[in-house]
Amino acid sequence: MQRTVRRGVGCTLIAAVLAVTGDRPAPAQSVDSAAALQGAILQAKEKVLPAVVNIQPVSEVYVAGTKRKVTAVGSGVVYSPRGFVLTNYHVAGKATRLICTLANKERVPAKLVGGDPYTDLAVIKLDLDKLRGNSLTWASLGNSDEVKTGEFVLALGSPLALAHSLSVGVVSAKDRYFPNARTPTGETTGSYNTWIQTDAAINPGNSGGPLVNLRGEVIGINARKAMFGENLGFAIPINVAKEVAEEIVAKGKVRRSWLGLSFQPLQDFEAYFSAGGKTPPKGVLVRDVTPESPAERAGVRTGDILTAVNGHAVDARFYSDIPPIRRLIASAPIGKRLTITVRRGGRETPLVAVTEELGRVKVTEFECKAWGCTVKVLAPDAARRMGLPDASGVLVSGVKNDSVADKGKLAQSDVIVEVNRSAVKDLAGFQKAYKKAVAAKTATVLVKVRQGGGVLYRLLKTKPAKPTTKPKPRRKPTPKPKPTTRPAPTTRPTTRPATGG
Amino acid sequence: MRFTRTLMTAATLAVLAMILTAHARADETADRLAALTKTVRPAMVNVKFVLVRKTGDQTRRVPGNTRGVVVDSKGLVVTLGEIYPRTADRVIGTAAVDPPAEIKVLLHDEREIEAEFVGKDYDANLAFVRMKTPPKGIKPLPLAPKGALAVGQQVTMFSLLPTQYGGGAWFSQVRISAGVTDPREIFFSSIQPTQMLGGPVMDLATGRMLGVVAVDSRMVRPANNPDADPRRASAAVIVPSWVVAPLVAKPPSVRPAKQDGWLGIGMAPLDKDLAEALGLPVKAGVMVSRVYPGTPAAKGGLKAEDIIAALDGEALDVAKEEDFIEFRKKIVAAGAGAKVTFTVYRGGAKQDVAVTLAPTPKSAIEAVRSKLDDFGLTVREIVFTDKIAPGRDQSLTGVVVVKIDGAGWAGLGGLRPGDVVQKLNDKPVTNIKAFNALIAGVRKAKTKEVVFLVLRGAETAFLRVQPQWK
Repeated sequence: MQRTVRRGVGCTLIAAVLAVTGDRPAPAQSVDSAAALQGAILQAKEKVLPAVVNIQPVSEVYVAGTKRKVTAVGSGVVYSPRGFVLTNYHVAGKATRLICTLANKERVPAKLVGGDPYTDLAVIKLDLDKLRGNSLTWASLGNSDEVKTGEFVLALGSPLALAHSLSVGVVSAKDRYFPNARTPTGETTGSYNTWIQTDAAINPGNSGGPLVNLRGEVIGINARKAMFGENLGFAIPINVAKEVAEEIVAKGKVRRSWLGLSFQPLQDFEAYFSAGGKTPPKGVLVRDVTPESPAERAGVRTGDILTAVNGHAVDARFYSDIPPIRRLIASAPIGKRLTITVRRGGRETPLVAVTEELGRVKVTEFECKAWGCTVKVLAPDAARRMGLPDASGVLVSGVKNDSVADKGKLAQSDVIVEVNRSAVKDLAGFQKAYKKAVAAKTATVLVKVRQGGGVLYRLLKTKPAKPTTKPKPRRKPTPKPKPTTRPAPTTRPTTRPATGG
Repeated sequence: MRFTRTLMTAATLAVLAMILTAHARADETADRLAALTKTVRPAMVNVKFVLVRKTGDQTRRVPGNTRGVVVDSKGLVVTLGEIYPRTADRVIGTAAVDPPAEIKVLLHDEREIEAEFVGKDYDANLAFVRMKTPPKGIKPLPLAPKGALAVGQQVTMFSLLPTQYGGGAWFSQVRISAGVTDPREIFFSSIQPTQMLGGPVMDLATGRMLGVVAVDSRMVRPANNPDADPRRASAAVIVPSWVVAPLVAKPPSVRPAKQDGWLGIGMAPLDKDLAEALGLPVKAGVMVSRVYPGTPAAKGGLKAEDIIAALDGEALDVAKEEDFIEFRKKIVAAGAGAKVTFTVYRGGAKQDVAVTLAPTPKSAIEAVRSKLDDFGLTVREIVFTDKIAPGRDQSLTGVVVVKIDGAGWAGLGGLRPGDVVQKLNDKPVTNIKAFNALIAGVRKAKTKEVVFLVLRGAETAFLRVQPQWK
């Protein structure tokens, strides 16, 4: 009896302990939620993963005065039955060859249609004739304006060349603004778009791949991650990508209008610029007007508040409000009149500017193998930053160590304006002058450069030309006289054989 | 047997004699060193000085201390060139600061004698001060004649013990490791130089001074730095007595900073290969790479790509960058206001270009500064080098931010070093005086927000600063 009671008490105690410490059975709702989420992830993956492309670009890069072929790994997403693929400019924008691997592991070559470094986007086209089985899946593009912070997203791509990988996270923030950002290949980017931030794992190789919502729609193109910190990835909103892709497919490039204005948001300056009025001003603050720009010619001044573009009201209280204004100006017809309304001293004034085309980044670079250096086109804004009177000449982009150029003290950032006394206006002109100098095989080449605001001459000592005349035959040595009782004195030849040179 | 014993005794006595002789010699050397030390110490001095830098309404006093040797009976002391530094500015050349003031020579018996600055020889990097009331009984050290120093020779270097040890002399016997003659004669020893700087190098045998331990401007970076920091020298350099002697006989004189001549060009060397490629009849010279606007060169009509072959009829021997220093010295020596004539080749034709030199413009280091403790901000006036930076021109006005306290009012408002403040609350900042006046007005009115318009790089930006007045 006592044993039974003790057993019973023990069991009760054990049950009580288990009830407190043991695994509780999950409520039915949590399991359903988890299963639903899992299901949504899988469904979204099914829709988009087959359209994800592993891209291996072969590009020509100019490093330290030499031209080299390099390869890398990136990602892209097929978004059209015609085989167009969206990716990043820094993946494919300079590619001379593209090898794509689809989700079904079939390899297909592709061609670059066009790129836009300002938004770090590019479009490539798969060679569908070479597609085995002729079946292609493409993803549908969503609406990045509807993206919400906190919503689940998938990042698809080839992180560290692990093709067709998937990572899951949420949208950490919308509208991240990085002015003066640079692509991994060095182009300025981020002026015409903000970024969607996500904590879905994004690694090198993910670039160009899609950021996807749980409906299986592409809402962004993954492009960058923060160098320091973890789980900080950034994607270009798909609405920006759609516009850019459309223009690239139609025209092969993106053309933008330019006025020459730099902006600042009005936050912190409302009181200052309200001119005593009670209502804070709306618009965007003009912090700089580029000299000799359309805006300067129209009469816009630093400190003006831009309130409307062609009647379309603009307002930027925060930095992330600025890219849409820049896009509005950029989308205006090039070379046409544009009415910009500015507020100055409490009064609004419409000004008329004639837009110019925004200088497109020209990727043309040239290797001067004979000299051991590379040159590239000198962009007008680069010329202005360097304090040069104009953009004529070519910019030395790299000098190979111990080369003819290096020994001749040609340096990176020199601007070549003359070769052997012939003026060099642009890259085509330089190539002509360079080829002529190389063909002439002279021992020296005189190069005039602009450097540090001044003018310098560099004398490149190239290899001397090979001799064109045959060398003179060697003289036969004079035979030794036969010895007599006293040996005759020997004589040396009076002339030396000719040497080359 | 007897013979062997005698032989052994003689050998023992011989060895003993040798040992005693060696000891005697060693004792003799020690005695001579001790005697030399006694002779040298009174001629060794410490030189205390103050460098006074005036910038606007601020005066900075920078005290200094160096060593020297009395070299004549009228109180002349040779010391290190560091006593009169010049700020080296690559664009301008050199911009002198005022000569040292409040010079005091501290003697071996702890007497302090007031002294005046005499001058500095830049080639030897030695300076001279003269005691106003030369003390009696101080004998200058006799100088050795030319050729008394040679590689491999053993010499005795003297220095002073720290004051906590009484400030007496101490010596080190070293050998001369090397000597060079181009472009001037100096000798090297491998001893760590910092202890021996400014001290005499003596010949034990003759009791004469063979030279002075100094710093050669080429021993430290940047090369040809007239302000070479002695602490950075990697080996002791001895300026021989026969180089010091003519300077003692005729000491260099101070040239007031304002009188330095300045031209205002960027230069490139013209070597014979380049001259040949350009088809020039000269084989060396200065190529003008840039003529800065508003400068004597611009006013005189010099142009970029001109080849300056001669200065006042004297051909320029400039074939590499290191040769510029001689050309610069000539321009500096000609002095502000001097009219010089350059023989110039331009477009194949030879012509004379007359230029009236101007004083060296102020460098950034000498610019008038304004320190705003409340704003956590220091600014300086704009100087010549600001106006010739890329993207800037002569019309540049404002003040340059030189220092920011990141957590101060200006730092929190976003100002950064290098920003050029052009407007304050929409009022133009034409110069530092105008800036100070505007700030005074802001302080008086305890303005709640101050909006700066700054030029940063090539673009302007607005920055709002919110002062936290108490």
